[in-house]
Amino acid sequence: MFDLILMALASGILMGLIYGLVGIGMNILYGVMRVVNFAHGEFMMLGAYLAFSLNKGFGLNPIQSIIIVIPIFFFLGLVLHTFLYERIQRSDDPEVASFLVFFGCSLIITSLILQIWNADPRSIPFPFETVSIFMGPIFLPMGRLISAGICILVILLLSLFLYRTYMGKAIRAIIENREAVSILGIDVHKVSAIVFGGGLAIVAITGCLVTLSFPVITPVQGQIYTNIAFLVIVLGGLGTPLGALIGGLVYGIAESLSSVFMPIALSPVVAFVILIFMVMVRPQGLLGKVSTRI
Amino acid sequence: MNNLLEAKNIEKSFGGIKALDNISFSVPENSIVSIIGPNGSGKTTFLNCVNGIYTPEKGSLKFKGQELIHKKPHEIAKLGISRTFQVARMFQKISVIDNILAPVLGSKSSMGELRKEASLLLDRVGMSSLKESLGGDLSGGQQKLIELLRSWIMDSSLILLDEPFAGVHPELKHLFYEEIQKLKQMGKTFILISHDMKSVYTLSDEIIVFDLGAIIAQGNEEDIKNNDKVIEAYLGN
Amino acid sequence: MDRYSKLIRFSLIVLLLFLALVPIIPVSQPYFFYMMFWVIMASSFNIIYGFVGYLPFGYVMFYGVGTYITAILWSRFQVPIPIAIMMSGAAGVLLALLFAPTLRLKGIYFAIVNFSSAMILRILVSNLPEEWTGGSFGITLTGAYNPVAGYYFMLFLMIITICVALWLSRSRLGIALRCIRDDESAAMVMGINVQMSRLKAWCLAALFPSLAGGVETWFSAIVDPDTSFNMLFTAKTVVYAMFGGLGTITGPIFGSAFMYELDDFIWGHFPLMNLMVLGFMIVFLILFLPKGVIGSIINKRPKLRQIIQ
Repeated sequence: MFDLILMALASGILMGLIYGLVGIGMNILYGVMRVVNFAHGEFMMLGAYLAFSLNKGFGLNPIQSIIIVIPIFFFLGLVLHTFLYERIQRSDDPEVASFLVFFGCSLIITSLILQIWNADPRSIPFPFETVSIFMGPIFLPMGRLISAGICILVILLLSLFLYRTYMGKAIRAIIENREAVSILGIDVHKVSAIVFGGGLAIVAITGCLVTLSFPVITPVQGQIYTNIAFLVIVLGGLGTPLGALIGGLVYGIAESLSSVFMPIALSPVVAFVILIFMVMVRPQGLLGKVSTRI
Repeated sequence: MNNLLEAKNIEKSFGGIKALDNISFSVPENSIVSIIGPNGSGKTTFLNCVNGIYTPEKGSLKFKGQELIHKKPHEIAKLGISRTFQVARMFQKISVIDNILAPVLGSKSSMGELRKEASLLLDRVGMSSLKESLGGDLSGGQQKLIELLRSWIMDSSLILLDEPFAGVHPELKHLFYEEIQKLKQMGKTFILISHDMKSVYTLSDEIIVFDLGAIIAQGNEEDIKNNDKVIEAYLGN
Repeated sequence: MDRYSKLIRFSLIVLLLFLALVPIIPVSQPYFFYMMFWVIMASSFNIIYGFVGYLPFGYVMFYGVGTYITAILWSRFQVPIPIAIMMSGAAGVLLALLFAPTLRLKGIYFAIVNFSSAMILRILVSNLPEEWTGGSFGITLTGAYNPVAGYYFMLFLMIITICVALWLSRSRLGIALRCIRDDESAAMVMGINVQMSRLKAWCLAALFPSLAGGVETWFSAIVDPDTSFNMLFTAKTVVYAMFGGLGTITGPIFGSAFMYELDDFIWGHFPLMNLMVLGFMIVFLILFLPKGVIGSIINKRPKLRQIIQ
């Protein structure tokens, strides 16, 4: 029993790191632009399917695909920002408007994926030799280990960016207080465009990592990841990237531990109970600064 | 004659600033009491206390013997106190008649009766044609008149008017006078804040002068006009 | 103005007569059955989103609960279907009350929590013992199939839903809700009980989809978790209602009728494109036509408001 729990813990931490990065993508978008990206999971799947095609067509493994996919999605983000952002901001309730617009996008992307790659589950042959590592009583799947490692790397790079560069500081300032920032001479429009592009790039990275961490990808998995992203950021606190990481870890461990005691299909229920509890009891999340209450 | 409202030693501060300093006075039943004074002297703050929007730190506010402090605004409204605002708080996207009905939705009368009454009120002030217009389409003065009509339909015993004549077209003003006087004839009591001295002298039974949160003078037109402190407050040192 | 009103009233009566005759004349019964279904969904959704301003992105859960309660009561407890449908309605309201605390949440948080709730209900229903809910295969109501009765029930329900929507716009609750939507703190000062009003609207908005779900079960004789709690239901409801125009009465009716026809057409000719068209419609609506078709018309010609609102 103890072994099982230890394994679950280890697995939970690995998944938690991945979930954390999943959440960070959405979190920054919301923090900076008050945009709720309902298509988060679908963008991820798009990234995953691109990695699949790059693998099938050019033999690239998912990690190599990341390098290709980043500029594509960054550019996509800039394009979407140009077309969508202004109009959304002008509506009566920009948050709900963005929620619905991206919901529409999620349908479009899912449809696109279905048409290009059809509904069959796809998978990428595992590119590395060791399938898993044994550490005492625990065995760690290599794919998840590598993914978690990449997540840590990305998070570190992101933190460096946010805390050491001018642009990063501007972004943090906007998250703290959007209204005051324009007084400081920060071009909010330019920054939000970059954030959008960067956010989507991060989402694409997680999409590629999904192909490493899970056996198959299907077009309809997007919904699940969007839900996870929601949970992670509500847990951690909307508007704080660090919070997303912690939220991810909490969720990952909770999901993993609960799978020891109940069927895996029910683990979203655990997540949901945590979500409800958090939202009603501590609306700002563990670390957050933006209230969920009216 | 009874005092409808009795304020005793009311104190209200915001941060370190004292907005109301030891305010005490009474409002006799069926009278019109005006509060005047320079800007920032605490007049609206006092009205907000009566209304329940602010809670004074000290003192007591008794309405028909009942303590108002710590009651919520909608409870105070139900007791029979209604209020108009300096900038009329009309619902912008709702019809004028619905705007009049808004404060009495909890009443026991049927919607049909209430609508009839509201229509009659609109007739009386010549605004029937605007019945289904949106609140936001009305001029500032018209909005204020609608606010006054709300007091009518609420059948409030005490009506608080905050700058009812500001921004009102001179032609509408006489309508206001008429309505206020009609209501007074019905036994209603008013507290009126205004900078419009002509209206104040015309309507008031008593005038109270605020300055820097305190009452510096009290009385009728003669008392106020000749009061040195009042002159000083308005003109500065 | 009077001429317009009379015209609209006349065409409404003709329409209702037509609908009443559908089972007898040679047109597709399911087509009109589902059109009425969507009118009900969009109109009641309008109550909670258009009137009160909350976006329940898991709205399908009321429909889902309605379908399941009817199915379970009939198949496990031999409750006659009409009574089972009534109880579905009650179940929907109970569910709404259960989620009442979430009304305290801000806009998108409410939407997110509601969305997750529907997802969770789907998982729960799939994983409950088969004797209770039929697990992931659902329940088939052999022997209960009665499309004509189902059709007329749906027609009846639709008429009631529209009447309730009309009543709401003139009633105390409706005025209160519109005041709250306009200026919440002013509404409070005027003695309007904001929480109570929202709660009442929420329960009302939950009642009709659950009833409709029960009736639909009668018509289709099958329930399963993926259909009953499918997110696409909410999506369509949102689009249909928004297309017509939220906050109006005719908006959702017109929107659902038109969009349903469009949806049906696309499904018949380009089935794969269905999702994509729906997606584009949502994006287009939010960006360019946030008030919907009827809403935009009212905006441009305010005088029409009385007639079509």
